[in-house]
Amino acid sequence: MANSLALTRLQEEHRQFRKDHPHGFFARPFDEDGKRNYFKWRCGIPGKKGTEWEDGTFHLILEFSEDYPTKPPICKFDPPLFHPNIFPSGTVCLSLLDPSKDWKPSVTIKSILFAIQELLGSPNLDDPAQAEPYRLMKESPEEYRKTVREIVRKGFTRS
Amino acid sequence: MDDECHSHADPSNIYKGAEHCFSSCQIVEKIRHSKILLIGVGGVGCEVLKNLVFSGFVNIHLVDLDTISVSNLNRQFLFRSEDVGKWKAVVAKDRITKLCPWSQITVSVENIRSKEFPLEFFKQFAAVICALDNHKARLYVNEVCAFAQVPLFETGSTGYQGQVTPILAGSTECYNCEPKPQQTEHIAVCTIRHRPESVEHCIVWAMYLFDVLFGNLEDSNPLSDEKEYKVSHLAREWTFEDGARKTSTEQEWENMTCERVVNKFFIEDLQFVESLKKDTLSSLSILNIPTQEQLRRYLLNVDTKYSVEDLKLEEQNPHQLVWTCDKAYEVLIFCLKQLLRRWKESKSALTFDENDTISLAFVTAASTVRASAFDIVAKNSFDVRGIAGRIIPALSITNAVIGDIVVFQLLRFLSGTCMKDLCNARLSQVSRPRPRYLDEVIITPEFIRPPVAEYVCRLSLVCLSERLFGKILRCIICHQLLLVTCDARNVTVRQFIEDGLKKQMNMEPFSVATDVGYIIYDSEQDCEVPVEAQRIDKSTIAQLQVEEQPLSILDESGVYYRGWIRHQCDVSLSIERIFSFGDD
Repeated sequence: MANSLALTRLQEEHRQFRKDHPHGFFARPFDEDGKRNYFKWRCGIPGKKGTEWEDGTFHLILEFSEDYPTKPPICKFDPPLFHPNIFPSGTVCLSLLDPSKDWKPSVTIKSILFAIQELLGSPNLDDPAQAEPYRLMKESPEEYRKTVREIVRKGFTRS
Repeated sequence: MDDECHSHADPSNIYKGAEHCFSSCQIVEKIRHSKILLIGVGGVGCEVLKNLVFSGFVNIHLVDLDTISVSNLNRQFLFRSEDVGKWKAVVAKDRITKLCPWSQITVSVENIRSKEFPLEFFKQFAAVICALDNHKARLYVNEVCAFAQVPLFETGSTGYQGQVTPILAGSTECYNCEPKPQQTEHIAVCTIRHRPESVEHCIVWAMYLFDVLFGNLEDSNPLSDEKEYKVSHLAREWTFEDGARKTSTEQEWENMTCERVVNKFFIEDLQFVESLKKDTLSSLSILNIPTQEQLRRYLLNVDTKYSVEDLKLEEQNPHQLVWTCDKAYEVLIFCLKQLLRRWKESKSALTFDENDTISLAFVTAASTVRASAFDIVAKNSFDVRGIAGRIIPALSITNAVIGDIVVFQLLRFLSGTCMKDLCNARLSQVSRPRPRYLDEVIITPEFIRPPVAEYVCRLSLVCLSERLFGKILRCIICHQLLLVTCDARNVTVRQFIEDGLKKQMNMEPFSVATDVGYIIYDSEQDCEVPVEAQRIDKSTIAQLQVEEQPLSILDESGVYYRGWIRHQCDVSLSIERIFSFGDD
């Protein structure tokens, strides 16, 4: 049995998100063969205007544990993104998702998605998770932005 | 224990004693005829069972799904060394029946959450005593007892601490009302991978590495993107398509695999971390990374230098020195080789077991190397076992006191005291200014009058969830309970929602889910998942297998309910509110 607090909270998140969500974002429990589970969500984040991620929509899988909301969900880009703070597996490294840092049980799914959207445009170079984009960003920010724009144009825009 | 001298004992003395105690035969009759459910026959369970039969209880049902292990024998006194490996519930029953032939003990070797135990099962007992060791199963028992409205005595013990809590949902606070401390600490992925801060982080990383290489790699493993280093994967790499080996000997295959693994996880990764440190930190530690030549030398001589027996001796010694980095590298390679051979023989995934010398030495060595790379003080294999196995100390004295208090409380309840007037007992160690003996420990039970349910339900969970969406959450278990009775074979989910929740309860359900998160109903699924909508119309409750378990129901208005669908043949759908403290 899972923790019923986690489940109740996820139900409430679902209700709140459906009532009111920011344009371009989506978040809902995942369906596999028409069966859906509250502990796995599929979400979408639009690239922020004015950043190299603009015009793209990036899909994430949020996995919640039974200890949610005491513990944060694992947020994984699917497919993984070329970004200094995203592990090669797609997992996002962000202080908001770290319970020893900024995570609080009151952080909603909506605010997680906003924070990740923000992170895309402003990477944190003190906390690298992927070697290649980290080095590129550090050595030549212009080249980095060009590479990202190219990746977004090729694989993440709805045509 | 001398079986012979007790085997002809008669319970009449017990009842005479009880009659004298309570000065009433009615209570004695109650004791004699009450059925008691004891869940968990471990440390506390053995004590409770003994106390129950010697207080005159006859009908006792035991539920436990565990087998007896050597480490149980020091405190679970109903078990002996020849019982190791047998079912706890079965052996406990046999021993007690021999001692007290008049007792009528029945057993189930089964998980208490199994469908074998529907709500009706719980309703047959005068009281339930919960002597479990884990939070999840306790939460479940707490909730079933709330739905069944059966008095529950919740017990627990760790070290010198212990507690007994009498619970009757609606009348006392329930087990879920008071937030429990975190059982496992959550460690962020980046902490495990790049910035361990304590030796625990290094040990957890080493256990994850064990799974990456030899075990079943789960997506939740923070090292899951290193799939290519799975041994099964590495083995394939050195095999031609026709099955022939690229390497000439087994020995060579072993060495190459070890070299690759050590190079990747203990040299390259650490060098990468070092290079990051140079960027972000001013001071950097000098990492003792072996050269390739040293590594080859280790590969050649570890087999003669170490043995499983020596490592076993070491792990039993709490005062053993922490391994030096050199030794850790050597032991690591030794264990890698041993594990590779084991994997080759079994051809299936290995699981980490802290009682297995090689697995433990692997995790100790890997965590030692990693700890020294991050300037963290490493631990010896004795301590690593404790941390990796999350071993909690258990003391027979605490169990015995808890076992006494719980049966005493049960007797008070049967003799007419209301559940809400029984006290919660909390056992803790007290210090004395001048101890008489050096190792003297004093433990005292403290009896606390429980707060009334209504008050607790309003306050609980506030600190845990803070003010989510501007409203205070109350205990979701004992707040709003809906008991649904129907013939689960005929009623569809749609009927349950429309005829039951909407018509009978005037609700507007938003979603209904089982406790594992499976969504049974969602008010908007027609547009989100068409397959689901169809299932709701056609499938019965029994087909979806969602009866006889707790359900979480959220109303469009934001009010939560807990539900339970009780199956009864040939009855029409009806819903009753078990109790309610009213809405805000």
